[in-house]
Amino acid sequence: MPSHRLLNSEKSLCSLLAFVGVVILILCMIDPATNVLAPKCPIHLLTGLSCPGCGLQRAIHALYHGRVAEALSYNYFLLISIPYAMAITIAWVMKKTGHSGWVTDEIEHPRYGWTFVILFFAWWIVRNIYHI
Amino acid sequence: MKQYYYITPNNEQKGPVEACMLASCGVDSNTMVWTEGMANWMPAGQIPDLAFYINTTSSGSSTSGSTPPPFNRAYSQQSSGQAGGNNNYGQSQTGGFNNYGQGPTGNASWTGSTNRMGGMNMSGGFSASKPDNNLIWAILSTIFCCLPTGIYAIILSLRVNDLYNQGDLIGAQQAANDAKRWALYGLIINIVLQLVYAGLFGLGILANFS
Repeated sequence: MPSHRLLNSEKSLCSLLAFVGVVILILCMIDPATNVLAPKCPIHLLTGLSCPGCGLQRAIHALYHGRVAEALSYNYFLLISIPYAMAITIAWVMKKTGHSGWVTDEIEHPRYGWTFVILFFAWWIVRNIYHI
Repeated sequence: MKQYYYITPNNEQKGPVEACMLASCGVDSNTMVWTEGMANWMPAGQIPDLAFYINTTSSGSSTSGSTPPPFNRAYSQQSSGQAGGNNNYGQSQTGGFNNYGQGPTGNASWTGSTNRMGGMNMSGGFSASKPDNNLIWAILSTIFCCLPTGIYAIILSLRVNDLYNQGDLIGAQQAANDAKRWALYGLIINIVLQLVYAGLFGLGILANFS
C-alpha cells in the first residue's frame, strides 16, 4: 500500500531531522573546543592529522554565537560540503515524496559527486600542509 | 531489430534476445521486458512493437501465476524510490491473493509474505524500479564521521544510476546496498572509537583520583 511507503519515508526523514537537530542543539550549548563530552575526530586521535571534516563542531558552535568568519576559519571546506549535503538532502526529500525527475538526476549527477570526492582529498592534503 | 531483456518466472534477468525470439524464450504478454530507450520494465503485452511476436493470451493461462505482480507495482510506482522489490512483492501478493485472510496492512500477513520471499532476499534483493542510490547517507557519513568509508560509500552510490541506466538492475541494487552498508560502517567505527576514547579518558580520571 502506498501509505506504507509514505510512513517509512516520513519516519526516516523525521529521525534524520531529529538527530541533526539534537546534535546542533548540543553543540550550541557546549563549546566543543574545550568540552570533554564533544565527540573527537578519530583521524585526529589516531594520526594527529586534521581530517577534511575537522572543525565542523567548532564551526557550528561559532555560527550559533553569530561569529560567521570564525566559523568559516575552522573549516573552509564547509563552503562546499554544507551546500552539497543540503542539495543532496533536497533531492532525497523530493525522491521520497515522488518528485524524482531531471532535477534530482541533475543534483545527484556523478560529475558533482566526483568533484566532491576530489576536492575532499585535495582539501585534506592542503589543510595539513598549511595547517588550516 | 531491437534486443530485449526479460524476467523469467524465477525472477532472473535474461537476455538480450531478438524480439522475434522472445516467444520461444517463454515470454508472454505478462512477462516484464526492457530494452534500450525504455524508462522502466513493462509487461510485454503493453509494448506495441512486441504485439506481433508474443502470443497475446493474457491472465488465465498457465503462466499467469508465475508472473508476479510486483513488477507491475514497481512499474506504476517507479518514482517512489527505494523500498526494494521484496517489499513490493510481499505487499502486492498479500493484497492480491489475501493468503492470510487479513487486510494488506495486517502485520502477520506482511511478515508472512516477506518470509516466503526469503530466498530472493538472500540474493541481494531485486527491484525493477530504480533503486535509491543512498547518496545522502554516504555524504552525511563522510561529513560527520570523518572516515574514508564514507568516501567509498559515495563512489559506490554514484555508480547506482549508471548501472541502472545500463540495464544492470541487480548490480545497481547491490551498489546501492553496499553504499548504505559502508556509510553505516563509518558511523559504527566512529561510535566505537568515541567509546574507546571515553573509556580511556575515564581511566585517566580514575588514575588521578587514586
